[in-house]
Amino acid sequence: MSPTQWDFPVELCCRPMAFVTLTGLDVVYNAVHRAVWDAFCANRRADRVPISFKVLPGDHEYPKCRPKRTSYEWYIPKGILKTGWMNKHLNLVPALVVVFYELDWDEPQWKEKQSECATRVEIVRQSLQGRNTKVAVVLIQKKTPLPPGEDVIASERAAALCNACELSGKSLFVLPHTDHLVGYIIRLENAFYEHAQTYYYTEIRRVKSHKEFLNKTTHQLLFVRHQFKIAFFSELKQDTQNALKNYRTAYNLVHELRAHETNILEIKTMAGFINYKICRLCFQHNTPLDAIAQFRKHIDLCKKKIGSAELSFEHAAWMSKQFQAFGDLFDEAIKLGLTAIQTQNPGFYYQQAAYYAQERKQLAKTLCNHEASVMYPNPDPLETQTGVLDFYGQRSWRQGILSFDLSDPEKEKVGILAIQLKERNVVHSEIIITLLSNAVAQFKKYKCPRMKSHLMVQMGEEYYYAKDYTKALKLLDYVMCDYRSEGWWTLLTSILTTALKCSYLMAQLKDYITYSLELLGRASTLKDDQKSRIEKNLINVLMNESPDPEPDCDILAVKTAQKLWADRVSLAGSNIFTIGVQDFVPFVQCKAKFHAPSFHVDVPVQFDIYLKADCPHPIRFSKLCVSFNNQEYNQFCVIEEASKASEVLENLTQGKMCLVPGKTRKLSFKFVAKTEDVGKKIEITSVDLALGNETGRCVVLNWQGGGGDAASSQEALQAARSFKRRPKLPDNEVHWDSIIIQASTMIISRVPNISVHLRHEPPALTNEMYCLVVTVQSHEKTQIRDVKLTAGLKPGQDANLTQKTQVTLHGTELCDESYPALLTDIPVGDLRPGEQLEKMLYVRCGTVGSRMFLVYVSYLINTTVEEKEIVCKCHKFYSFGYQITLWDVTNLSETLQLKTRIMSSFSVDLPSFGRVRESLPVKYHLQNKTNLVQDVEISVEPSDAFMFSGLKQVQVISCCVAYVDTKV
Amino acid sequence: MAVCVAVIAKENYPLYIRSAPTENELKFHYMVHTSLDVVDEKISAMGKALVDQRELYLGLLYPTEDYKLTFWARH
Repeated sequence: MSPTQWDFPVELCCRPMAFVTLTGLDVVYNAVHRAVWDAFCANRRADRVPISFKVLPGDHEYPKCRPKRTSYEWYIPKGILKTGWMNKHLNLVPALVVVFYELDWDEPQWKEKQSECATRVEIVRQSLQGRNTKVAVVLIQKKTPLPPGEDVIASERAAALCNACELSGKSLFVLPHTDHLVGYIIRLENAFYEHAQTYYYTEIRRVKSHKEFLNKTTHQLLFVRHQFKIAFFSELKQDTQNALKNYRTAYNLVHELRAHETNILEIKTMAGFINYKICRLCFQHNTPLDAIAQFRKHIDLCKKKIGSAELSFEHAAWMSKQFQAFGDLFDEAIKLGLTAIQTQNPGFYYQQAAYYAQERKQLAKTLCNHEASVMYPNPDPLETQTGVLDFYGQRSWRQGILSFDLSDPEKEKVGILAIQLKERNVVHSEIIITLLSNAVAQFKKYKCPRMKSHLMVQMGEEYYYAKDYTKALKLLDYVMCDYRSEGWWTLLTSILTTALKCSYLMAQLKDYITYSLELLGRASTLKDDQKSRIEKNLINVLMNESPDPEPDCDILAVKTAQKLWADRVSLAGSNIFTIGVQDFVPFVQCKAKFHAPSFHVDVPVQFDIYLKADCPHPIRFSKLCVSFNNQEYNQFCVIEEASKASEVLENLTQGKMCLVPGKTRKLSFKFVAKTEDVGKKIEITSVDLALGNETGRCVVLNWQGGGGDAASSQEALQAARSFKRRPKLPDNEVHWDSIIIQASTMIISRVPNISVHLRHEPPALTNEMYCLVVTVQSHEKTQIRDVKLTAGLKPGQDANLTQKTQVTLHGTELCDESYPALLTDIPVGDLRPGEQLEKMLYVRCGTVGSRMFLVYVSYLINTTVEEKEIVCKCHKFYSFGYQITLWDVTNLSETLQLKTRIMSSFSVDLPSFGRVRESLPVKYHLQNKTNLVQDVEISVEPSDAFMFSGLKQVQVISCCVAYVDTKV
Repeated sequence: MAVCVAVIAKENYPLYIRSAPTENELKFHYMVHTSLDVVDEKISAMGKALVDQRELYLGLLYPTEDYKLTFWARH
């Protein structure tokens, strides 16, 4: 953007540096001079003294110095600060003029040269007549000088030259053109800097000396002017502390001026300049809080100084500039190392600048709405003879007039009209958007996501006003989700309303439909009449017609949009829009719920889809489809209601697919699960609800999983916390909140209707072919087929057990280790209802210890579900096996105790319970099953929990049956 | 004079917002919402201290050009 009237002048914003001009250097044709110049100005690092150099010809005409005023008695100033003053002292009037001259001490034609040099100095002095500018001479020499004092000729000639040029010895320098040029230059410029400082010091003294002649009635403006000048010269002198002090005084003085509508702009302009300088210096002195305090004070003092009501947009523009400039200063200080915080960062100032820019736009809109026939005045009252104003902040048509009365009201009117007409050409949106985007960048940096979103909304709205609907929509769409996810519905509604306008004006069908769906929904805070209007438009769009324009849209833009919509209607093509609802809050809610977490395969799977519409009028949908992870079920869960497009809003209370606002509609489905899905999960992957039909336009709302949208989780949370009692509903209705989504269910096998029994006679002995008799009886009503038995060692136990256990169907043969531990799928034929079969199994165990065995019976049965014949596979498990525990009386009979000695039988007799401190008789029963006499040794190891009496160790010889009685 | 009162849930959604009828309601909604940036930071910076010492008055959040925002936190 090119600088505008409100931008601060560059000479105000730059860092003032001592101005030194170099003459006598031919930097174009003379290589030595070029090298000297380069050494002065190339690569100036921060450690070099702050001087601004300029090469000028020796006979350059410096600005003329006006004759010194001898008295202020009759002098009336015409303004506060001349527009050219700062530039004059930064770039036109030097603190020091340096005359470069090539002259060696042993120059043969010394006299002539000396006089030429003196002439050159004289010419410079002539041009600077009346000014305090210093003059210095630098002799460029080919030879390296001797140490001071050794070259007698040099000392003599130097003195002579000083004399001829009327220079003090301190102002004559020698620059040998040798290898160490930069070193010499640095020494030179340090000396120049000292001279410059002396000059500015003198200037300050000179301005201060005027003070005693001023009086407070007629010279008020001069107090400000002088104070400003002193401060500015102090800056040039690099005395920033005094500069700050004097700017502060100047600031107070400017507010002491008598303000009137005619001079308020001048006062504000100067106050703005001085404030800028103060803030800048405070940041430079690393006292940011002082800068902020000054700025606040400045704003408080000035914000009510509006001036002419007809030009109040100017005040807004000025305010905006103040904030923007402070933001820039703040940001610059941060780049140089200052730390900002979340609540105090440049973003706030850019934001406020944007706010005033918006206000300026509003004011301009009302104040500058002249009819087209109003012509820009001729001659242009804003033109001045020189093209610029004499004083900052004055009106071009009455420059230098201090009177508060308007001498020429007609002229004033024309001037105001000119300004108003000019303001009309300002592209306000561009200014606003730039400021907002500056603020966004700052708030992003200082962890203010919501502030950032808010500013982006404003940017979007500004793009909307600027008729850049694409950019507007992009921004609004981007931030919408932030407001949605945090549940700020009022704000979301406001954003959606603008977004809907944008999509209408661009005739963007899908966006238009999406925003409409949400504006009709429960997240929208729109009034019912607005919702009705949007609903009607949505239906129109679905019937392949154009919607009515959104309210408050630009008339021209609406005209363009209407044409676009008409084109859309005539264009055939893809007219089905699928819209995923998980990221927004549409006007229909959906919840899917399986009746149970699991279903047996021989009963139908049942579930309900609950729908609820939140729009103002009943609405008819055309189709509902439910999709599953196993897509084969999809075909069974479709409801379609043929209707004409025009019937979307008609025949309202009839039909399954017609939703009455606020009422929960339940749609029930059932289907028969596939037998191959036994043991698997059936999941609803999506629910699709179609509005409209293919002949017009069709919107398919797509819920992922079993329903729910962007607002569901928050609503669930709110419902859980709420103490509100739900009103009682009729029995056939349910509260929407009480419906909990259940989007998956398990398919489990049919319940077996057989009994499996196991008979065996413990104990089992090692290496014995231990017999297990399995009895299977069918209680089914029809014949069962393909009955299969799996029996043996239960898998998953110790690997050694697998090796040391064998199972066989043949008890007559002794099996070895090649036999399996588990026999699988032994076919045992079919069973008629009530029929029973027995199967003998033999188990051989090679080691002692307990084992778990299992018996598993499976079979097939034909059955009918929902008039559909299916083959079900049923199965029943039976597993057993125990660890022997002495006191476990009840389990003892089932124990498979493997004895190391195969010839004896062992049993124990125990009462069913014992009492504390009463004796408990235990009887062990041993039986010799062999034909031979056996030696048996019995030892009893009592537990510490019992007192033991009786025999602990018994030897029984050649007995058939032995009883050991003992008491514990 | 108070021009707007808001009660915000701990998940940062508004439970109640009421502003002076003469004022632009939307403006205050935005103002309250944006101020949550500062509330979030303050609460996370205070962390346990907030719970322990019942230092629930978060004080002046920040001054805007025309309004002042003050905040109390609740358990």
